[in-house]
Amino acid sequence: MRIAKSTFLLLFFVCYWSWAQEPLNPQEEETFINNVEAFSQETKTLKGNFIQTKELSFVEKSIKSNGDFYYKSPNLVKWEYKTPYLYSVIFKNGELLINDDGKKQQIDLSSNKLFEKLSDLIANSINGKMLLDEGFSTHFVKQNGIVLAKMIPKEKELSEFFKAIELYFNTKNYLVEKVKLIEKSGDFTSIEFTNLKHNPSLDASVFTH
Amino acid sequence: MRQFLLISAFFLFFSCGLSTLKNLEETQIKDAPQQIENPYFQNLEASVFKSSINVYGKEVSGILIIKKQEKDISRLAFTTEFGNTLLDITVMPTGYIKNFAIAQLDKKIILKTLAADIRTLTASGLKVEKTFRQAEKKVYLTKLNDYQLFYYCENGNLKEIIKTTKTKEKLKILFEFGEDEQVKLINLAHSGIKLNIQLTPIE
Repeated sequence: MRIAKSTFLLLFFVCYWSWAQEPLNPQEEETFINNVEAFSQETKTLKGNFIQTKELSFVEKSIKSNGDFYYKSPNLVKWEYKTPYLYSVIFKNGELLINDDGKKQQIDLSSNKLFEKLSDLIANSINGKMLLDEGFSTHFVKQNGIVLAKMIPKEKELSEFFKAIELYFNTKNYLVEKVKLIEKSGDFTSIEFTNLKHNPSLDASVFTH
Repeated sequence: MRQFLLISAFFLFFSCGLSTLKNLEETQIKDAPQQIENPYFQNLEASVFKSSINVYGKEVSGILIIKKQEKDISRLAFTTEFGNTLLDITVMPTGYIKNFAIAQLDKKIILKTLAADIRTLTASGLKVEKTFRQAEKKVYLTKLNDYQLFYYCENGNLKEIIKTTKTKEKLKILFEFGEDEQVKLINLAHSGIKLNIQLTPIE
């Protein structure tokens, strides 16, 4: 019985240690932000796959979709869903170019503040520049080789949608591996990035509508 | 003058007749159910749709999640493809509760219309009042609040729901099937307003 109890305590502490979140101290925070900034300056292109999961409080199952994304500095983004439906959007020169399974649409972002904000949000969370955005109050915690930036939007336009936005950075290469968009209700969307390639060559045709 | 009044009365009488009834023949159907069920929204599992809403020529697309919470209560959320919730309402038997709506959609006419459409789409356990035939289709008339709902069934599948007042069609819901006999598309077309909603099941 005593062995079982000590095993349990050991397991508890191992689990606690592995999940514990520790805030970055001011010096660590400054170094981390500088490194992310330097990394985003170096980032000319990015590509990878994503898995999107939507959790709603009143629905038991998660709603999943996945696809590919492409980014070209400073703010050219293509977001392409492949399953369970074909849908792609390109954020380009102040426009949102939608291809909904062959049905094409063009939206002027200046006339749609919501999509304009979402466009900035997506581009800047992929390249990490969002950390430098003064429209958020941010605090950092580290956990298992990840630095988690918890960002609370200050502006009404975004705070209407999101209670918080969490960016999960890999501390080895400063790539954002996951973005979690938490709504006021507590419902959230999590986007996990996989097979990330830093500065790959991207054909211009990727961003054509 | 008398002739004019007679002609006017004649046109008034026929223009007030419900067009839905014109091609229907009231008849007894031996195996008619006492209550009508919509087999696609019978259980309490959530249904997820890629949806396209066309209102007066403007198109909005997104993901629509519908979950029946009780026999006559459903909850729906409309999100962007990126997952951001734009609208979240609970549809009650005669009204709705707004859980969340972005400013652009937070308009009574939008919420009321959408709630009414989902109430019609998910209605179940309605008493069959009359039965009709239209060629191979069996048609069941039920009532929901102040409206009449005509359910068109063929080969055991629900193919169409038409919602009417006593004199006018308000909404047509068409169910399209794939080769595997699964619903591939649900189309909600309004008669009085230029509003069309297409739902493609994605799970």
